[in-house]
Amino acid sequence: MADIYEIEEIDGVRFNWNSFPVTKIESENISMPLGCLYTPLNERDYLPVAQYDPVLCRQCHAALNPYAMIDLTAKVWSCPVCSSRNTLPINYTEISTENLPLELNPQSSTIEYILSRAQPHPPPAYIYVVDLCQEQSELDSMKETLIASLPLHPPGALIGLVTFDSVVNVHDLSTRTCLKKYVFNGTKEYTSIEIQRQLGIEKSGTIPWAKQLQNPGYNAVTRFFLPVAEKDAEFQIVRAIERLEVSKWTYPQGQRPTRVTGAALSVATSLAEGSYADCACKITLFSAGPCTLGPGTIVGPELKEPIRSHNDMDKGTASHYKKSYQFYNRLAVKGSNNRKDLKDKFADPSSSTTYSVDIFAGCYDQVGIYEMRSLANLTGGVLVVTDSFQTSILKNSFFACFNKDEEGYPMTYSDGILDVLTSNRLKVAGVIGHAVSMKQNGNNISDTPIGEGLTNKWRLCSLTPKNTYAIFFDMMTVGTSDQRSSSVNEVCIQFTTTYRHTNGQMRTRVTTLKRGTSNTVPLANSFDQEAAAVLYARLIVNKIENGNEYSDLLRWIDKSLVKLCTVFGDYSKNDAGTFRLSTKFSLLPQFIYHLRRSQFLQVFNCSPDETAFYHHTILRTDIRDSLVMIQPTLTQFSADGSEPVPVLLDSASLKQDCVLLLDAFFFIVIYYGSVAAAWRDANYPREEFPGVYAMIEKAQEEAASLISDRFPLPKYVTTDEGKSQARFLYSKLNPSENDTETTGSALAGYTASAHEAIVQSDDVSLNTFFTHLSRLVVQNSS
Amino acid sequence: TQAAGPYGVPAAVAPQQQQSAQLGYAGPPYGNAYDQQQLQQAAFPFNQLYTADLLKELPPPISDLELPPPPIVLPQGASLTGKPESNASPEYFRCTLNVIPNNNSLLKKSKLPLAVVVNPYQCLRDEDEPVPVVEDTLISRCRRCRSYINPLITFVDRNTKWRCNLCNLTNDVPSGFDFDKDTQQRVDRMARVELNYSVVEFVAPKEYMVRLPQPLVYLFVLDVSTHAIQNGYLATVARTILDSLDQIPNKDGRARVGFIGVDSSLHFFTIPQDSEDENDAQETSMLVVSDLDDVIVPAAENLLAPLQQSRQNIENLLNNFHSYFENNVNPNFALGPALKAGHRLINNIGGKMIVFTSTLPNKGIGALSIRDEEAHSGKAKESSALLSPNDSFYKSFAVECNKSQVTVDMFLASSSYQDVATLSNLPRYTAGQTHFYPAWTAAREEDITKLSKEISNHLSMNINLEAVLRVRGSAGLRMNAFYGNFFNRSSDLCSFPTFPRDQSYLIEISIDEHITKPLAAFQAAVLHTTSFGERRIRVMTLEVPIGKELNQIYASADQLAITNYFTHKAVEKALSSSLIDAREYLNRSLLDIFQVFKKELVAGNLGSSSPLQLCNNLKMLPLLLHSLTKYIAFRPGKVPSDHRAYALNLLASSPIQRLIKFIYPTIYSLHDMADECGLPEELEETYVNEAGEEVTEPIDGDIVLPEPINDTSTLLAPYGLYLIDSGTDLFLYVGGESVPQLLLDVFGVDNPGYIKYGKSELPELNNEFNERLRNVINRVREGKDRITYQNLQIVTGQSKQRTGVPDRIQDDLTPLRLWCFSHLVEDRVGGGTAYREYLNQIREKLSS
Ligand SMILES: [Zn+2]
Ligand SMILES: [Zn+2]
Repeated sequence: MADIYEIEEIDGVRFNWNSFPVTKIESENISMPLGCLYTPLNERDYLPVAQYDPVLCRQCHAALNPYAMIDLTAKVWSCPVCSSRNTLPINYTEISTENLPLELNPQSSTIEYILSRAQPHPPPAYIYVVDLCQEQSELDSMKETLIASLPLHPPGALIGLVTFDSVVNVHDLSTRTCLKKYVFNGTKEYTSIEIQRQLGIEKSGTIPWAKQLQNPGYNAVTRFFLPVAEKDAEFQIVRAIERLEVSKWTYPQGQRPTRVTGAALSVATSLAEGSYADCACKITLFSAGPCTLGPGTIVGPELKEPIRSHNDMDKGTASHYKKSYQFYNRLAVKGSNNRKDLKDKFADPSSSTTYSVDIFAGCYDQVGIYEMRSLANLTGGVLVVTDSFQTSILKNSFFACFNKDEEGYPMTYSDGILDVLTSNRLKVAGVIGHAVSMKQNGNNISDTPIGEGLTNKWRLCSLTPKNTYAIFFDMMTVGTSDQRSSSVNEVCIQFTTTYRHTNGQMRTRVTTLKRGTSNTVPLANSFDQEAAAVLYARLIVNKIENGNEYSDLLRWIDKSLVKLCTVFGDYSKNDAGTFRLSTKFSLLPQFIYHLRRSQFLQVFNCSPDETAFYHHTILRTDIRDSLVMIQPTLTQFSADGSEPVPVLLDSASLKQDCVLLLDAFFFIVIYYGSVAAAWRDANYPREEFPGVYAMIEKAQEEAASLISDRFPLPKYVTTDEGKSQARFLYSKLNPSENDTETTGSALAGYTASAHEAIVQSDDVSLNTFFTHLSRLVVQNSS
Repeated sequence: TQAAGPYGVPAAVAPQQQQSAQLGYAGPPYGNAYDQQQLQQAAFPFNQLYTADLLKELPPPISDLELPPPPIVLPQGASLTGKPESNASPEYFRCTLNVIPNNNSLLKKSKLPLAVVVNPYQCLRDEDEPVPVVEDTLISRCRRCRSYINPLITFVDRNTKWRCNLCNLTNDVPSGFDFDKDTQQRVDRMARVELNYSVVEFVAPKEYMVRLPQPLVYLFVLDVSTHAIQNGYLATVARTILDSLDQIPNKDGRARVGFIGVDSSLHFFTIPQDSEDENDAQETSMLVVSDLDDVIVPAAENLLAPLQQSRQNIENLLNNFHSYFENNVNPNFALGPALKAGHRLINNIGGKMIVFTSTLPNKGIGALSIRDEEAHSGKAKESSALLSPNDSFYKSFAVECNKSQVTVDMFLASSSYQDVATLSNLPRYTAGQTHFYPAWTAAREEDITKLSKEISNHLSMNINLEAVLRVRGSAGLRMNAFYGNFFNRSSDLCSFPTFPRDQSYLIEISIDEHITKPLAAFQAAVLHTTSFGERRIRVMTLEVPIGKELNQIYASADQLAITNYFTHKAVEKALSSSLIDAREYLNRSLLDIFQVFKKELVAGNLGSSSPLQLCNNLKMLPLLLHSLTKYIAFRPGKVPSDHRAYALNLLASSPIQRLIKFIYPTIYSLHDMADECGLPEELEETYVNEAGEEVTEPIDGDIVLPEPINDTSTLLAPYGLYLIDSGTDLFLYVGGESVPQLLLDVFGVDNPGYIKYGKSELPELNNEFNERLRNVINRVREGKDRITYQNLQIVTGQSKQRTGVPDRIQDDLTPLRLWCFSHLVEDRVGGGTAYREYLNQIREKLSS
């Protein structure tokens, strides 16, 4: 079997266990759900692309794939997923081993089909939802950004504009002699149909885009959505943006501005629903502060009422939270257009629109990302939280949403559907990631859901080549080892991702995987500790999102780790000193140690908005970047002309005469030791001390290269030893200097019970943590 | 008879001795030498009672309609200066009885009504009506009854105090009357305007302001639904507002305007201030609000634009206004929600909401339905089924508007039913006015002209803001009932968010106690803010003698004011009870008066052969009240209820001169008019030229009009040409047998069949007669006191000489002729009797 990194490159997938447990005991031993991180639109070289529709199994609808057994004489193929025999299509009669269709090529375990369609898809729609309650300089900067974004859109893209302050304005972009806006009361929630009625577009949602174009008048296209590529239309859009003004509504002293963000989003989503048939829409919210009125209120208008903290949430005193969260969640679910399950009386049942929501916040304070998180999480939108609309983080992150492929099309695609097919005995437990269940029935669905479960089909309203989903499985095990033979030796999984490309094509990416079971491949050899660490993080984030207590989660992950180590570690019973882990497992305790200290589990230093942002980000990110989030990397740059070296994330790595570069994914720190800082400030002649300059410049170059392909852009901190900003670095370091004196105190919270957390102090060192772990493992085995 | 004068006595206050201008504290008392006690003993002449035999004076001598009321004869010394201006002139303030009964039973016995008519403004624009102003904000008022010092008070206690002519209390004379603190100079108190004129305006000090003077606000509420597009109404209105922007009173530069376009949505406009810098300029925005249940004000600012600073943008908006809606196919019209939104927009400032509708409101609150005219018109239940409000929203909303200083004016122009009866409630309780344009269409130039002129006149009117009217009476006289367009905020305080210049008000008075004093006094005060932001009080004082005898009362009764009173009462009856009741009320009231007169005031009753007698000064009353029953407001039979309701509204709000014209239209005979008619009156003007010489030059006066003739077809010659002025329309009637030369001169055709009849204008032809005719028409149309502009209807009579003209045309003329002849109110028109028959019926009833 190929190396896991090679597989990741080809198929965009990594499992925590690459072989599947067969017995009940094995499945308990692996101590965590079996799952993978899958990046459906993974960018790879030489991706096979078929210019035709896939051949489907008549039984399970799996696409024909390299694992299918082909009987060239009988002209049949047997489906590796369901084992049905299918007749090859007529145009496949000529195939031979030398003349195989693309999908049967061994390299086609992942293949992309460009589907043939009678009717081209309508172009994508974009609605900018702009908060007008902000300073002039902020708004000016935002307007600049918005206008600069216009040429980035894919060809044919339609743009709409919604603005809000105390009221919601929907801009009719068609008028020339004045600016025309439809104004909505921000204090109440209207049904989608009522909003469409007020906009005069009652029927538009079911009328094809092209038809609306032919009969301009009272419909959505030509009034609320203009094709930005057309000169006239662009002029109108630019004009509408240029004319935006800072809110003129006044509010009493001691109050927050009146912001009806919730109502604005409700109106925008209804506008999307009422736009045109089969619309795939991106709604982008630019928020400058919390919603203070109407549906989705985050905090009341009185400044003396503080915005909720994690503490308030814990104590249940966050008075707006529940209502507000449910409101935004409802809007998010509406975006998936899962009509089968539409209990939302505010939604338009006849709409065929799907939409996703991106949120860009530019505010020193919280804006309510925490309450709004479902909007981005469920629809595959992005969250970017910054202090100001004037920051390059905001601008560049926004522009990055339009990053283009080689042919010049933005790589943010829409209207995706992920199907997961599995072979006999393997069931799908769920997805943790930016996906919404489509509540599809099937016989491969596990009764025990994980994340979005109880389905084998998910809506991915917005997706990019970077979006990574955690998909969990549930193997139907046998009771004992003796029953092994009644199990299977291998499993087959097929992921099908159908989506709308920004070039107008409908495409399907098919990844077919085959994995052994413990009947054929020992579990211990198949472990991927990096994937496991990231899947742990996803599971924890998912549990937090579902209201689990942090302390319970700490206990859960500790217990899980102890179990794994107990099963897969080497040790003599009751002798902690003998505990060893093989290389397949050796890094895991360290990952867990850092995960426990990370922003995902230690939330009380963050605001709820920050937490929501961290959670959102890890839920979309691939393994490599997720690992950086869990365990940041530290690189040391010296003045002696040596190459940069990775060093331990440990307080022992702090050196006075070096520059350190910390990459914690969300922020990047360049740290000058006190001597290095003094050298830098002394302005020595470059010719005499090239090493100093090389050290500094290399660190900066490295930081720049890290920033360049990251989304969203990280915060960039430069600091010196002892300065206040240095805490960004210190907080991530293993406090090894505590090793000797804090052993006692760390033990104070320790109990031998495996149901308790290993340690309860935040500030224990890795060493202490590992000591506790070993002790538990060797005791536990009894 | 003309030379003898109508009433047989000189019509002026008895002349008074000239006072020396040099008056000091040691000098003789000011002005009036009489104190009330003295007056009581002094015998002063009452108007004498002259009896007329109505049946002998037929046709009725209608020139009497032009006469002033019987003079108010005050004793010498009743006023400070003895000047005629000391007592209010009837145009401003008049009483139905210029001698008031001294007790209630005498009043009841007389069967004559006691009421005052208040008409504080005579012209739409200030510059046409100079009223003396007291500028120094020194206002002396009676401590007890709060009335204002006036020329009819007396100074007592060595001129240090003044005795109130309403309640008799003595009040201190402010020192400022005699000594100017600023200049440190003694001043002559008799130079003060308020002691010389009974109609004056005081500039009020701060205490008279509830809040700072608010800017003048005009919020235009425009129907933009498909009807208003199709008939061209919206385009015409927008154009006219644009053309009239300069007319809007804006002396202080603070006037603001706003616009709401209404179909099933409300279209607001934010109008930014004009900007020199094109890059910096903000654009006008249209804000569409469609939530009719919970209407919001959609923007924080610029919905009301300062006329001066945003002039260019306002003009641009009005230029484009029609284009925004020209393709509108929305037939809905959410007037109620629009009004509520408009009210919310301006209620903290106040102002005018001027509503232009072409559609029956059919959406949201206040939606109306078409009423069953077929079933009820002309029937017993017409009032309750068609003339009463069809939705309580309009009155309750209007009252709310009044409280927040908002006036609503309606311009109704639809080709179908508009429910004037319901919609006119908005202006009625907010001191606004209803303007009605049935079957209006921009396809007719005449319709555009009328509408444009009236909108323009309306906008040019110098309205007053935040006004209240209070009328006080001297002891024993109580203001009992109030008539006109306003809202009675408390028992005797009439509230006007804006005070119009073309309406008048009537207040019924009851006599609560036996009055022993010889004179009764009334004072009407309008506290208001001028359109240029000054708080002022217009005060009118009227003094009338008290009489103990019925003949004194009758001899001084004012038949026009009495007609005004009965009109209001009849309108009230028509709306609250029925049209039949209203007509019966008018007939019975008249019969009562005849009976009293016959029984109490005519000596030697001679039974059935007796003449039908009434005093000379009331001899037009039967004609007026009888004609009133034939007016479209009360006429029996089927009348479109919108027209009926509009007519009732006109009667209840118009000043006397216009009211009389509605009741008894004026007819001018033109084909035989005297040579000077239709040409300017030749006057002389004397002035001092630069060299200091007095020069006299001839100048042109007003166009001379012919004497009116009676409203009867018997006076219309088949070859004649007549102009009938109904107060709302003008009819140019040309007899069917007119000589070709007349037709050529007037119409440019020689056959009556080719005259362009109906709503039209007289062609401008190059002959003197044509020009004189046009002069006459223009003179009749023009008026600085009114907003209305009368359309000319050309009507031709039956003719034998219509050769080569299709018959169809003759058929089409019938309704127009019927309409025209319905103004001949002495004839049997409108299902009524002829005037002569009517008088005979009364005589029969009197003798039975
Ligand atoms: Zn199959
Ligand atoms: Zn008094």
